[in-house]
Amino acid sequence: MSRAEEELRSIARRLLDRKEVELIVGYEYHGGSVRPCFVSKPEEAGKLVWNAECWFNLARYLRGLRGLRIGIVAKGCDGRSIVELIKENQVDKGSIVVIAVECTGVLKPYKYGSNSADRRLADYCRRCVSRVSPVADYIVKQDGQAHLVENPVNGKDALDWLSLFRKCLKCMSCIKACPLCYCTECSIEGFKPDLVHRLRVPQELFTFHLTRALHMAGRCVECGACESACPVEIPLTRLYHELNEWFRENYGYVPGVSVKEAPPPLVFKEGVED
Amino acid sequence: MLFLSEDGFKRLLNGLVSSRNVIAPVEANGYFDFKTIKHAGEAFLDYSNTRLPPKRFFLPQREIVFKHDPKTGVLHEPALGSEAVLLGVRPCDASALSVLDNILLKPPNPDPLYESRRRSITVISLSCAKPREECFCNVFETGPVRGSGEDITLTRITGGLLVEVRSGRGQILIDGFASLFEEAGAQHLEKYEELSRRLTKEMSSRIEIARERLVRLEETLDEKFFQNEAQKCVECSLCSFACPVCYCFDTEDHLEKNVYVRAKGWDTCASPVFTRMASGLDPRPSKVDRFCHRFCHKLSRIPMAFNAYGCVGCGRCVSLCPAGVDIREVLKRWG
Repeated sequence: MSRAEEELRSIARRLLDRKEVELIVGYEYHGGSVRPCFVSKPEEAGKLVWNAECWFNLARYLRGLRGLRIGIVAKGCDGRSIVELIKENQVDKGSIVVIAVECTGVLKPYKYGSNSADRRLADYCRRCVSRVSPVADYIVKQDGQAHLVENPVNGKDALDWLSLFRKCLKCMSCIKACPLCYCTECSIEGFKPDLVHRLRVPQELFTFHLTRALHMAGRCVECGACESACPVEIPLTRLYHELNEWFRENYGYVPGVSVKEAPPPLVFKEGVED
Repeated sequence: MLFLSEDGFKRLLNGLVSSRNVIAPVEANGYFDFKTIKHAGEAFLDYSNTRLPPKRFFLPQREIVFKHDPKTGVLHEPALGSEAVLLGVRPCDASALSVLDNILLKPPNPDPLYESRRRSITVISLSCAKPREECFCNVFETGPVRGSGEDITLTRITGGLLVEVRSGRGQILIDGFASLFEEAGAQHLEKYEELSRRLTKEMSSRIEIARERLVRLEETLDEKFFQNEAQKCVECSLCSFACPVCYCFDTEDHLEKNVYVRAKGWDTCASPVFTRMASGLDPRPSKVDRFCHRFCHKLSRIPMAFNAYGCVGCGRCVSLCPAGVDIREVLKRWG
């Protein structure tokens, strides 16, 4: 157990002990890997873990747990999605306690059918802009470990999206793993209009992914949960990154960095014409 | 039982690839998947298992049930399955086919499209050398050496492979390459027994349950347990898309160049719209209902209706679930 993990557990124990929160959302060991867990008793805080396998973005659960006082273990990108959720009035900052863990990058998940030799840093972590959550009540520092991001890639090499989308199963796990995909009437899953039907493969794969991409533009915090959940490993974060870059270049806006900074599409000044 | 030397296996593989359409596991983009191969060298047979099961060769993600031209009044039947050899299927995935046979080949609702593909594809299974940590095929006796839906069972032992012919279709294929095979000797069978014992012991040390008790799952449903587990579920439906047994489908009609087309394809019970009816009524309205249903269907209702378990213990759902929902925890509690 690392010192960071020890600190995380003691913070969680203290929060639950003092009844400052009712539930801690964190990670626990599961076989050789790590999975999300909910801890509600102080004596269970010992099962919390923090390491490079923790790729899932726990902010995904916050909307479903509204009404409870929640403690959440958050990486840099998880924290950024919490910022976006606060800005979009989906989460009340007053009801959550953020335990920010300093992140040195997560590994590409080792899943069923993976070649076991292929354990490397997830591609999206190479484009990371914040190792620590911008909102934090507690900060757990890593003990002197170097950032895993060694060779930042600019990610400008062209990808053949058509053939990548062709692999898509339309299982929609990218949508379901995303903390910011919370529409109750999803434009992709809905029937009015019947924009994308689960059965129409490969016909509507472009519509599906581009619709989602446009909905994520300027909002996506590039946590990579969609990409890591994808069973056929479509590098979706790359697509959203390119749209985010457009936002950054044109409006100087990077999502999830500050609670005060309003997203450009939401800013509308009456009477201003240009 | 027959014996096939390593060299003979190479020649069999070359022979198959040159004469037939061979689908085998290959490595692409860091994970294993089944693909049609052009050269024997492409097959990656030293693999753990493929990310997605070979189910799609029998139940494609989307298939045309019929086309109807309103102008001419002609009804076009769909194309039937083309001949192929599916090589290197793990015993659990092969057993999943026999579960599907129980459901989709027999009355009251046989599926002619599935049947045509099942008839035209010869399945050759290959024993597992190193079961993955998530695997629990011993629970349903679907591996790790011998499955139940394959035409030929290959078991890798030191120095070669043991060949067991499981069906008439398998026999025809073997007859075509008769010179490569020899009758298995006592020393080969001994190695086979030893391997089978060792793997079974290794697997049962991880999980062992009384599966007859699983049928009670539905009547003794522990709602608190399922509520807790379902809380983590994000309803991504990866579990059913990656399952070798899940066979639920949806149909859809549409117009394609003035021809009516009815398509059929994968659907999933994890989706909130799966049971929602046109009236708005939904017999499984909450996430917990849908979550329970998945386990009850696989472990209790399929066994009662079709005399087979809806799970073969391949472990895909356990490994791919982003929330770490683990069917083994349900098995341990009720089995």
